[in-house]
Amino acid sequence: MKTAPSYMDRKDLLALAVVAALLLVVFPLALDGFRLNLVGKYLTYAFVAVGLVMCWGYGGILSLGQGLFFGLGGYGMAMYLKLEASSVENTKIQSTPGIPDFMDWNQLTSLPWFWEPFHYFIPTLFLIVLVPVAFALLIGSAMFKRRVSGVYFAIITQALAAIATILIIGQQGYTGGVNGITDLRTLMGWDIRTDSAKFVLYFVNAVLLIGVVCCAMFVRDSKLGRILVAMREKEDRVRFSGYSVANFQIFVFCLGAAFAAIGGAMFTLQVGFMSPSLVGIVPSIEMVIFCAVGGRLSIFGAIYGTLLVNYAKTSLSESFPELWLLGLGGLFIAVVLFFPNGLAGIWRDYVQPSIDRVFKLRSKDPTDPGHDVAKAAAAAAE
Amino acid sequence: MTPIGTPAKEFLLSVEGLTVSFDGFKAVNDLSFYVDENEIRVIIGPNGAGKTTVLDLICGKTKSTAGSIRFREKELTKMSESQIVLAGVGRKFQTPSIYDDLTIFENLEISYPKGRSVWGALTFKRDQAVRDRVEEVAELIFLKDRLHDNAAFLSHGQKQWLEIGMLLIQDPELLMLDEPVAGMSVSERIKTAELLNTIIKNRSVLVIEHDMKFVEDIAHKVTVPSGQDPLGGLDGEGAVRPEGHRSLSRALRSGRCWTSKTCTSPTARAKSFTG
Amino acid sequence: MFGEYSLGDLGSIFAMQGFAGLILFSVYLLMALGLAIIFGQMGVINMAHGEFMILGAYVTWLTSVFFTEHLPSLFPIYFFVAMALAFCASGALGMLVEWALIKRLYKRPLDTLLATWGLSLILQQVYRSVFGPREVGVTLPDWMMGSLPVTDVVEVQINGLFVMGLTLLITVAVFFMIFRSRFGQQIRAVVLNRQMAGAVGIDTEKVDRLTFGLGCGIAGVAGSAFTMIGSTGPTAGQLYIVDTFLIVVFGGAASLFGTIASAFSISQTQSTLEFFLSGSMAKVITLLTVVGILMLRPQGLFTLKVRR
Repeated sequence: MKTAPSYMDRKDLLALAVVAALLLVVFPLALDGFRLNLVGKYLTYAFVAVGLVMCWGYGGILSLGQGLFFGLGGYGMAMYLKLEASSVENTKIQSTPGIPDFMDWNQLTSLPWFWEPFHYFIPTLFLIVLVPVAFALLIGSAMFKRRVSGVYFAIITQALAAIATILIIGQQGYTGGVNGITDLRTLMGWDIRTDSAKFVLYFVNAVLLIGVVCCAMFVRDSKLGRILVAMREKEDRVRFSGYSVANFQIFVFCLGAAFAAIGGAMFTLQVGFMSPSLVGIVPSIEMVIFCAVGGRLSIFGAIYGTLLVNYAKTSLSESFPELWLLGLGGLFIAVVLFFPNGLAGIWRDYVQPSIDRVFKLRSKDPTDPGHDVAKAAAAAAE
Repeated sequence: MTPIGTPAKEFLLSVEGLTVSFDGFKAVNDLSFYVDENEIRVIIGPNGAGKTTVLDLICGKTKSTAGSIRFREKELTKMSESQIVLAGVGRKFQTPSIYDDLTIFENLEISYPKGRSVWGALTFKRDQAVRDRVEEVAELIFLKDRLHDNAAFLSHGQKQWLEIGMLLIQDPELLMLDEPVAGMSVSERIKTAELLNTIIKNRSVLVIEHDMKFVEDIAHKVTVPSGQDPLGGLDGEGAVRPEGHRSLSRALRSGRCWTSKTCTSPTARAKSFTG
Repeated sequence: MFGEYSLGDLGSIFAMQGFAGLILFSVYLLMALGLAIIFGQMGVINMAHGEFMILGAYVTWLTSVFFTEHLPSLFPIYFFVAMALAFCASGALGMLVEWALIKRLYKRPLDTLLATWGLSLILQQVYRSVFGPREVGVTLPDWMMGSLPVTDVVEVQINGLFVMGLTLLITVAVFFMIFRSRFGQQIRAVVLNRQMAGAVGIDTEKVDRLTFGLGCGIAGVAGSAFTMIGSTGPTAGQLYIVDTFLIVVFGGAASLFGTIASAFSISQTQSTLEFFLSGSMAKVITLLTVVGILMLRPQGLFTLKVRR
């Protein structure tokens, strides 16, 4: 037998290098500050899309409530920034100085208990990830242990996203209501609204995204990744091979939630606000389409799909706002009917073969055991 | 050690008073039987007699309404599916149940009894021991040359072998096979019998099979759990133990199955059987 | 929270909220019935269900405009015409959609969900382009306006009564169709065993198309009834889709009786809570309760234990 299988083979490394070059070199050089910030905003959705590749593509669990986790992460960061912006001197005209302005408008006279930990940066960082993961753990344990999956899971997660929106809008005094948490200024004294800060934050975001991609690739290439594929196909066979299927589903759902939460926090930092419009049903399902356009089995595809759909959205809704919904609707239908593997599938079926022909690349060593179809699909999406 | 009421002899698997009903329809009614160590027990009976349901009950896929299933002093009816597997019960499904999108190597590797927790799976290393074992099993199931092909490209018979291989790598003490040669060609069937004869050493096997010729091929000792007298309550235990093909067919022809107390009309049951 | 009300007041409150709940129940049930057929019987997730409903509402509005301008003498009965037209329009669109989209996706439920969501976006934009972004309200004939006094504090709206009667009628008709008619027998046969149904001579494709059309047509009637209570906008359908799905799932997807029971309990809970809490909190608590129960009992309220 051969040497140990290389878990990250050449193609994956190449795809990673291309993404890294694109995010860290090409975009910063080619785009002006405004556009770069916009790309940064799109990339925060890519965190969710990468999580969905793991959950939906590999695990077969379609969550229509990823906006909930994106929102929890984003609100966590926004709460910290808002408290920093609501220092006593900044808010001395309020009837209760030292609390966020919207609380004062809603006749609150003291800070609610769940805002307290967000006075401190390190606990905030932990909570940004831990709160969404705890929610995912709760939802996942309740449902996967009872064998709820597929359509039911999708509907219930969608309902949760809807409930979260109604709750946030309804509890104006605690959450900022429909406007969300706005007017965020500094992060530990560092003004995040300046162009230089936005430039730095773009890189932080891009590096985090690459980190998340590496993490997703590690999971995909571990035995756990293969168990996910196996579960998606023959859940019972996996169960009767001695695995607790529910635990694996819970794990991958929590992983997706954690990714989404990091994206949400980065969204708040780069865009400067967080609102319920990013939590509800519509953003949640749009994030699914980013993932589907990229190819639901392709980690890199998720990034390209997100960028492409958002670029189309921005350019179309600037010039022809009516066309955008039609285009998005058509995209949903087209991806499902004609391109179930998204961009990654198109790349694999049409682009890759011709490139291979040109460069006469041997696509893979046929005796290398570290391969599977899913991996090939993912690598193809570079 | 042995609870009162069970036979003095220590059996590997003791099924007692097992009953399951689906909305009043009793698929299995008050069934008792015992499987010895290293015994190969074949279960025969008409379609819908509840044979597959019994396997489902033993491996925890279906929860019983009443009765007990004891395996090596452990009560299986109270355990989860994965716990039952860890206790040493392996089960092959009726239709080949393999992972089409994974290679044969990976199919076998997933059943390798290590790294079964979430954390274990994340940190699982494909070391030499794993590779050796997978190759060893692949050789047994005639698929050594195809280790790195996707399982989707296998023929029906090869898929059946692959699933048997997956069980083999799991190394269960009790192996349950649900119609292992259904849909196989004659030559495949002979190879399968050969394969089963190799793997049944040092373990007990519970087989559901219709193919009498095949049953003859694999068996050095056959137990037909068919009650001689349907009213005598002999279900399984104390059943006839014919040594050859002729009596097997006779038992089958008689249309009496092991749950014959509740199985007066096989056709009526077949009609209500949907799973 | 009951402290400041006297016993008599509470009785009236519960009666009034109960009646409001009954109207909500009727609308929920009408919306859910169509979905119970499509989702419960066919297993298809139709996220555009709300848009089929809104189509019915727009058809009703168009009919009311037409009658006002051309047939004012018949205006009092226009609503019946409108409902029939709404049924036909939504049903026809439903059959078209089944033919063009759904039938390619029967084996991929999650993909159906995404595709029909796309369809709902397209329909919303079409409504916006054709009817404008603003909400439209229909004028009710005089006999449907006003209310009947029951006691000096409790009174019931006539349009509410009308919606209830309509719901009762349609529910009975659907039950009859599914459980007593030949067509219903065919639907159930196709649901249970598609191949076998085809083998005994049922045109399964036609049954699928008609079933889907029937579900959408009922959604159209629901939309028509909806105009009596609220106004119609291009995105109104999306507001109700989650509630509707929860109702069907909560009732146990395959059970029409369960749909009725769950629509009743959800609407009554919500309308009673609404009196004591803000509308949004009432909804949050109701939905959370439903989701919580579904997490503990995923099969819904009413299901059969089947051999699997």
